[in-house]
Amino acid sequence: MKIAIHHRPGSFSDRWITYCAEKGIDHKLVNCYDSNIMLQLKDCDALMWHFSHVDYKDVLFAKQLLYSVAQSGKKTFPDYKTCWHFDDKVGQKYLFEVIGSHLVPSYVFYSREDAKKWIETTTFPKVFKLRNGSASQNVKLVNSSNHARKLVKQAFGKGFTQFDRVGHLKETIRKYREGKMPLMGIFKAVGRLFISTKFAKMHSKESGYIYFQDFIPNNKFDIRVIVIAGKAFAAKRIVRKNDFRASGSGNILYQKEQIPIDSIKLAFQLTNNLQTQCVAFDFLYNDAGNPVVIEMSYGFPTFATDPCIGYWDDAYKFHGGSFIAQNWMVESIL
Amino acid sequence: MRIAIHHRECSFSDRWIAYCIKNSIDYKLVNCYESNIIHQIKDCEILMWHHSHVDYKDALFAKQLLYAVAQGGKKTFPDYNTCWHFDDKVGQKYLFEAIEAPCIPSYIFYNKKDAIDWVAKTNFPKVFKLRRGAGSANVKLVKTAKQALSLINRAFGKGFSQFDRIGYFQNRLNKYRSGKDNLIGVLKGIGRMILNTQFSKQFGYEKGYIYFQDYIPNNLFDIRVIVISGKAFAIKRMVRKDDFRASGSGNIVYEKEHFQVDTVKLAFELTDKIQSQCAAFDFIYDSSGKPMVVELSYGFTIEGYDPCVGYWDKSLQFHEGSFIPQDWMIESLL
Repeated sequence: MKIAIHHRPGSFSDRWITYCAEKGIDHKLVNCYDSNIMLQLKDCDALMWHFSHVDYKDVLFAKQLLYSVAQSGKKTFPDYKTCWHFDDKVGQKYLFEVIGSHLVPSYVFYSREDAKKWIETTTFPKVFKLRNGSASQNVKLVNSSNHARKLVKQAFGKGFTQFDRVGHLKETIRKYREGKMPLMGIFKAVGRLFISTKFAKMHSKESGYIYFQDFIPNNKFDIRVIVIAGKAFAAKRIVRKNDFRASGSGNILYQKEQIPIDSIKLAFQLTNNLQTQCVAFDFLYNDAGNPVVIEMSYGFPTFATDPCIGYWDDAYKFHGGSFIAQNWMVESIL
Repeated sequence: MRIAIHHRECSFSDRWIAYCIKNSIDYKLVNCYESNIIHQIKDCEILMWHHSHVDYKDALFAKQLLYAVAQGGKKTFPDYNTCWHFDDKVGQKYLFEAIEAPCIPSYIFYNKKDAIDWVAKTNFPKVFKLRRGAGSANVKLVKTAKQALSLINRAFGKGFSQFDRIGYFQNRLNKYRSGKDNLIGVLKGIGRMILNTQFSKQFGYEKGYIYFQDYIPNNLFDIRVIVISGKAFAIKRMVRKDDFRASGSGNIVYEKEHFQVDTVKLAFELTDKIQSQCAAFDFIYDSSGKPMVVELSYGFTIEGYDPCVGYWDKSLQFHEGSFIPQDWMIESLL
């Protein structure tokens, strides 16, 4: 068994490589961006690539490459069921509805008329999202039908840029005030008002659809549970001050007692239904006190979960102590 | 067994519905564009949708919807193996290489420097293609390195419109000249010089990558073989006058003697490897007369194949007579 690893410093691959070296697992580094990548993979049995949703190149072809490699009989991380819905809230809406919901009720419209009709009959607030984006990027609270109509006009008109310049600046200022960002970060964010990101430049604007989720009030946090190879670990993310968004806030609690066990149970149940190798679910709690999914992702910041103080197995037994989640990914494809 | 059919006039669904009525197969019409589509198909075991690559709405979410439905245990047409690579020549490059199909050597670059380095050491002519587009849209013969560099600058600069206005007009004009289109068609071509297509408006520009294929000279035609459910039929498309492109030329011949049985055999083999429900392969021939696959598609125009004089079964026996391939699509799911 020889594993091909596409290395991107700062991604999961740092630890995959270390783990392979430590355990004497046969591996080689490949470059998925090369036109001859299939030739590079010839002598390997598996391909592991922590591709990113913020690198325009990866978005262009990473899934297609992984599907092709799988079709030749090799294993991949992530595999099809793990990644087809990655960074795609529209795909996730359909998927969760198919497997019996637990998703915050979501609505998608592909025509201006359908969206306008729905606005007349629904209640507000709602949460507006673009299909892609993480850490609460491209997410807005919509308090009125007027605001919703404006968004509809933009969605079926000039569209939305993938990079929200003003939102980015506000978020940077917040992080600076909370001591999570140096002053330099603010200068950079001001610069970003004029110079967009490479990703936003290379990708067309998002248009032709509009997506809303019900707003679930009274949530002061969300719970992120990550399941890999029959093990789950979790973190509680506190919402930003005077805001409703938790993802990306940077205020994170890891103690075991902060994590409701029903979120762990639901995460295992959903992972079984979805048959994914690795999945991070974001949960809120509805009025009835039940966890509901906002969205999911196979990727997560490599170091963000290091402070976790243990993990649950699939019998919901807690195992205290530190661990390296990326090692489980390698073990799962051996 | 109940079939949900998304109906689009002039698509496969016309014939699916006729077949269901004729054979008393339980079916219902559904609307995939509605936000509650998963609810609509609750009482069905199968979803059939001939989604189109020229409808921007379909391109936004059709594949994702079908993947989600399949993950709930229902059958779909097309299924994942049949459609993930649809209208995506970049995905097909990786796929053909992965399954070791005899295919035209192709080259993909995701950054400018790699592309420029390659131009310096390759030879010309090459064929430039955007990943999307059918009927030879977005396909150009690149005769010199200078021309290639200019395309590279554009690919990593402002990008390419999905809709080639001048190419579209020229195609309309050529068809008019050869008696395959009327004056209205030419006027439409002029209109499109001014008014962009909805698809192109919504999808913006293709950029961030550049894709070339080797140019295979001396092909005066291509052979398209369509395989559905263990049956294959074929057409021969003559290239346009003073051009190298056959797809979309409208000059088609159907007689059996135009087709080499080796090509049909190869189409069956590739379909098995890809595990596709329905695949139209375009073949051309290398200098030694061996067939090479150019691209594939699950969709095809309906009327273009009605004049076929028969089909081959998997043992390569020819069955003369007319047939309705859309009926086979349903039969394969029942």
